[in-house]
Amino acid sequence: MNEFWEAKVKLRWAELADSYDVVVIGGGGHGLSTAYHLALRHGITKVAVIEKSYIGGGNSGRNTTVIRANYGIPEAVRFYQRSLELYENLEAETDRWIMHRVGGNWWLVHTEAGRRTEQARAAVNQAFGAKTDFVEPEVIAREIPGINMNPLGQFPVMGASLHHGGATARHDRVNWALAEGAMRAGVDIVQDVEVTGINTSGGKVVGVETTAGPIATETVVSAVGGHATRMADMVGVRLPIRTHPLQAFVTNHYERKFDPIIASADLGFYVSQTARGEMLGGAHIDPEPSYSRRAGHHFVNSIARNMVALFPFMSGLRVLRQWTGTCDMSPDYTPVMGVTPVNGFLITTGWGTWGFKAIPAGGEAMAQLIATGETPELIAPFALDRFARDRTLADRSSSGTH
Amino acid sequence: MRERFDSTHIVALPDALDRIEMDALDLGDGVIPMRFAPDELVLLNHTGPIDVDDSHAIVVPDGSWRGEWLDADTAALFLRAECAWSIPERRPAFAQGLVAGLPVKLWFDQQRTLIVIAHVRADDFAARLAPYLEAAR
Amino acid sequence: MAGSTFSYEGTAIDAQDGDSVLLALLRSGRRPTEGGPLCLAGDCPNCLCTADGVSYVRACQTAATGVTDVAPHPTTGEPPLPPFDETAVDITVDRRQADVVVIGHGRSGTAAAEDARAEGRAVEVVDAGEGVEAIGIYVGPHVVARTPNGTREIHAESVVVATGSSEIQPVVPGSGLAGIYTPRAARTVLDAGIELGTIVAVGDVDDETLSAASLDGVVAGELVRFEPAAGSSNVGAVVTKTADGEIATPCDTVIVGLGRAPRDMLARMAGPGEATIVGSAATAAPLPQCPNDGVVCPCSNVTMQQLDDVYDRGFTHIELLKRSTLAGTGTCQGGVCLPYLRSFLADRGESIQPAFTARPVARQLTLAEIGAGAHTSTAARTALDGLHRKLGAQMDRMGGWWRPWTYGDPDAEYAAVREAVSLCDVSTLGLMTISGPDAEATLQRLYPTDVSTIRAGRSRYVLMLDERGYVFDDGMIARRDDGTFLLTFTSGGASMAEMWIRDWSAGWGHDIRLLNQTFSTGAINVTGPRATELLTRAGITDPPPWLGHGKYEVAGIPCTIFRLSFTGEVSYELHHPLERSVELWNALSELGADLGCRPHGLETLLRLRLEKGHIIVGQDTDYDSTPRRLRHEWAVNFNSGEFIGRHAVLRTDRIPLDKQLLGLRFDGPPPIEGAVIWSGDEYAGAITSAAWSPSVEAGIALAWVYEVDGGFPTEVRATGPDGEPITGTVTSLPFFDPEGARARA
Ligand SMILES: Cc1cc2nc3c(=O)[nH]c(=O)nc-3n(C[C@H](O)[C@H](O)[C@H](O)COP(=O)(O)OP(=O)(O)OC[C@H]3O[C@@H](n4cnc5c(N)ncnc54)[C@H](O)[C@@H]3O)c2cc1C
Repeated sequence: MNEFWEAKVKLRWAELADSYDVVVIGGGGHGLSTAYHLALRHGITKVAVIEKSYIGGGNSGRNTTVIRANYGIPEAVRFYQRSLELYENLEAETDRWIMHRVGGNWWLVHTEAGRRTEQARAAVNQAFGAKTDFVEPEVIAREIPGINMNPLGQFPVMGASLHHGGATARHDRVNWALAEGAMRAGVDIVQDVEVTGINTSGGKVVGVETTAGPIATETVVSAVGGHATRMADMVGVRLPIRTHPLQAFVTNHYERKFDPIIASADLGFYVSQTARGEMLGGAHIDPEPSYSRRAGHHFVNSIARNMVALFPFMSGLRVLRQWTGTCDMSPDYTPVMGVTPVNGFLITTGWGTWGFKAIPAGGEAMAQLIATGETPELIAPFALDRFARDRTLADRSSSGTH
Repeated sequence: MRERFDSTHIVALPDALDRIEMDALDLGDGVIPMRFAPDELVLLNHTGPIDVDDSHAIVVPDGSWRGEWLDADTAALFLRAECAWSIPERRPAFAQGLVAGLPVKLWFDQQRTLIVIAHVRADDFAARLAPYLEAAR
Repeated sequence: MAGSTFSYEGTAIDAQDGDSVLLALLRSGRRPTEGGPLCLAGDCPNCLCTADGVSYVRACQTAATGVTDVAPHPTTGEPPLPPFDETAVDITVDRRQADVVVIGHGRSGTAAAEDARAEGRAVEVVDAGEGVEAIGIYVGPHVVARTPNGTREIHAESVVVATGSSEIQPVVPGSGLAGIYTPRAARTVLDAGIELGTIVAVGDVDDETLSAASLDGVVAGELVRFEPAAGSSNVGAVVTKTADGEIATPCDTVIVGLGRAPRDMLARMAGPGEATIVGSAATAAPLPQCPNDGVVCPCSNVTMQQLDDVYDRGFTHIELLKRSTLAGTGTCQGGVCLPYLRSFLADRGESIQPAFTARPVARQLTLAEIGAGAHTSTAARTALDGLHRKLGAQMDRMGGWWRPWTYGDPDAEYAAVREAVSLCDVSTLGLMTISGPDAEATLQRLYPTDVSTIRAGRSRYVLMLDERGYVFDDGMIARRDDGTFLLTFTSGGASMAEMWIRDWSAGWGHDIRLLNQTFSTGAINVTGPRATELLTRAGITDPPPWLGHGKYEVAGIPCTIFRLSFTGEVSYELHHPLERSVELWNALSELGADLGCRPHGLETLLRLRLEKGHIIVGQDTDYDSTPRRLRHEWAVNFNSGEFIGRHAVLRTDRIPLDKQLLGLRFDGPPPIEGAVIWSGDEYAGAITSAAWSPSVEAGIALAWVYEVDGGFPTEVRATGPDGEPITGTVTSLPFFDPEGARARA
């Protein structure tokens, strides 16, 4: 027996009924969290979550699990800070072990422009409630084990922003804890059922078509990750989303000794050691849009090289597995949440490479929107119509990865 | 990248460049035609005026290329390790692409291989090539 | 027999020629893990060891000659991380191209290779048994393998996967004991002359193995469990079930034959059409009998009871089964447990589930091995790079170039520009020549300006807009006497701009010629009140007028000189053949020495231009920067016809303005770049550029200032460099020399 197996969660699968108050499409973290919060916070339990594969089988079960609130614009810092705090409480709330661990997220600086970016990050974080400081090289050399302060002779480590609250959690366990909580409260969750169509009448949603038959509902939440545009197409809503592959890899398990979550934009990767002891590495999206989940060698080749350059001690760690997810990228690297021109068709998308950390707050806000009929202030800036209203939320330098 | 080349850099209609490329041997000793694109040609080791059958052609002297001649063995050793794409088999031949992670131009004559790179990347490329030159020695 | 030696827990282990680490250990009566069936084929985790500091190495797949120090895999807990001061090892790559890569050199692989060769195709064969382990089939197809000397990468047209089969391992109580072998493993060990004591066989064991083990036959009945020898972790008896009940057969070694499964991980990894699967790798995956008890996943130590437990709690999908127990997520990637997970689910009445997704890496390799041969992207170096370094400049990477940040004394550099004359390496600027019948038409549509009014010999500052009306670059357009145009772009902006121009002009069907000269042209900016004097000394008596340009010879070097100004002083940009940069720089330095000429770096340049309120695209602009937000409406001419972004700008101009880039003035040192600004308690934006201005004797900044309560604040609050609150006043731009008299002097 290993200590990391899931010993507690009990999942009770449902049969689909003919009609629901709310149908959530997609059993990823955002879909599950929306259902969870609908049931537990608002008592709305006539809810179905329809997952075409298995729950957490999309990006929510294949991400690098970094939770952080060190974003670059006030709207994002506030929102992710809320999520970070909900995560801190999630184990207590669900009575389930999600392997939450705070390690601190360091973004390294190798250029003067990088210094500006990271100082700006620290400043806006402090202003909006996320704990981030700019730190000098001495601190880095002292605090980060095994770091080479001048990798490749061309990337001197000139400082970093240190986000004290940066954390990780086990993705599957988050999905399951939320699913279990929702199921217990009466939400129906089904796997291996695909939504194939959305029925509207007079500009309003009236139901969905699934591989298990039609379901009547007036409220649909599309939480389908990389398939967001396809789903929105079904009701004629155009989304400014492109789907790009994103890769990651883990090594075998080693004694847990490496606490920080390190990111370097210039070296193009981030790395942390999981609670199980794997070294977990990621990077940025493939530049070409695609739905492919196959890995290219170039990614792991160059990331591994840079990782070893920054952390020579990792040179002999053995890579166990690499994988790919398909990310729903918004043009301003900020989520797109809330209502759409089609009455009853709600979306939670644009989660790109950063939506795992948003699962608690995202679901909480979507549930509140459905329950009250009003968009919560926290997510109002993320509305779809921001693109038409010329109110995009440029947050490129601080989003990018994880 | 010990050698620096003078050259003539031409952007013109493909037909006009075809003609120049075909007759490159007549342009003088050691002139090497490197066809970067259908509308772009660099004549290595060529200086001075040239007739281009395109009144809108851009023709500029270009001394920004650096290069290194490698014997067949060294070239094979180097390319095997640092080049992920297929080298043309015919000779002479021109090829271009990433080698050792940097964009280079390759000219294969009967015996030797010339690796050409923009000056702005030449020092970094030289550092990547050096171990192979060392090994060949 | 030469043999070799490695050390194992302080003991020297002698290996014979051809021995794997495992064989050598078995020969000496040891094994690197406590127990578990051995397959000797790399399919299970039961011979893991740490070899020369690398953990998770399969002893059976590692040649004894290649190692010096071997340690057992820890029996509890995880292997330690390498010491933090460990240095990296260097791994070489052997790159090859082939028409066909055959993975597996067994019978079917050999046949496939022969067939392909007969068709005249170039073939590469790799085989783990020959020391070359394929670890992945990547998009391409592109096969990566580990060799004793490094990694091998093969780009191919197609791949043949002939990886054969693996042997199914027993999952019963006691299957973690030592002394259990699969038939193929047993034969290898026996052939190596290793003493195995009393051997018995159970299950389906072939005659060849039986005879190698000097056995007449297999023990009757179905395998039930293994029992340990008294006080040992070695098997002492095997228990089988027959019609007459359970029989315990005493032994030192058990050979267990449970059939085979396709070794198809690589096959499942390949993309559609990339690979042909042949031989046993192509056979259907069997469903072995579902065990009742025992450890099903030796990597993650998962028992059958645990499968039952999670299954009963709803983890019914094979992926959920895997993720909840972690079965199949360890070193062997499901090699042992996958057949059993499938049969477990089938046994519970679930539909027969496909194997879980196969992902690289099939066999493991170290980060050093996987990163071998990769190069990190380098920044370009101007022709003056070496010279800057010789002058002691602190170099910084910016916009894809190495640039001097400062030469050590920013104040003196600043003073040279404002009071004398200074040189700056601006070779990094993007530069292109465009000609052709439609060149002007292309520019007219690319830029929001009326290009037809730029006269020959003149130039104009221009913005580049995307379709959304957002500024993504800026630069100059200059019309030459011969009707061609020179275009400049930001440092680092040229490659994007080149694609942009080519794509659009092709789309419009325009006939143009475009040459990107960013990498072939050097540029030195000569700037300061004495710049004209310096040029005169260099032989230029008729320099171009303000915003003019022309061809000159400076110190014998052909130059195109632009008269413009980013620093706010008289400035001449000398574009010249890059190979003559050093010569030109040295000539100017010498000629200007007694004028107080010295170079300035980026730090100084950024301060100088900030005093003039000039924006830097990327630093002061954001993703959504319209000309209006940047207060650059003056650079957009709607009377110039259709241009990219025109409709978007017209549309967004009708929407109330939410933020704009404004100048701020502070009495003391300004806040840091990136600092947040407030209007009362309301968020009012952030600083994009800031510096102390010696010339206006104030802290100056550019900032995104937001509309607050229906208006734009005229005063904002920020945190000063020492943490104290400071007040900034919105100020008109430029901060310095508003009439621009100095630049035009
Ligand atoms: C490699 C990688 C690393 C990442 N690292 C991080 C990180 O470190 N930190 C972070 O915060 N974020 C990270 N992310 C991003 C994060 O994983 C995602 O943003 C997040 O999981 C999105 O959750 P979701 O619920 O919106 O989508 P998903 O989890 O993808 O769920 C969508 C679900 O919808 C289902 N579905 C699709 N179509 C249909 C249909 N027609 N009918 C029914 N169901 C359907 C899918 O099967 C899927 O299960 C990473 C992503 C990847 C790929």
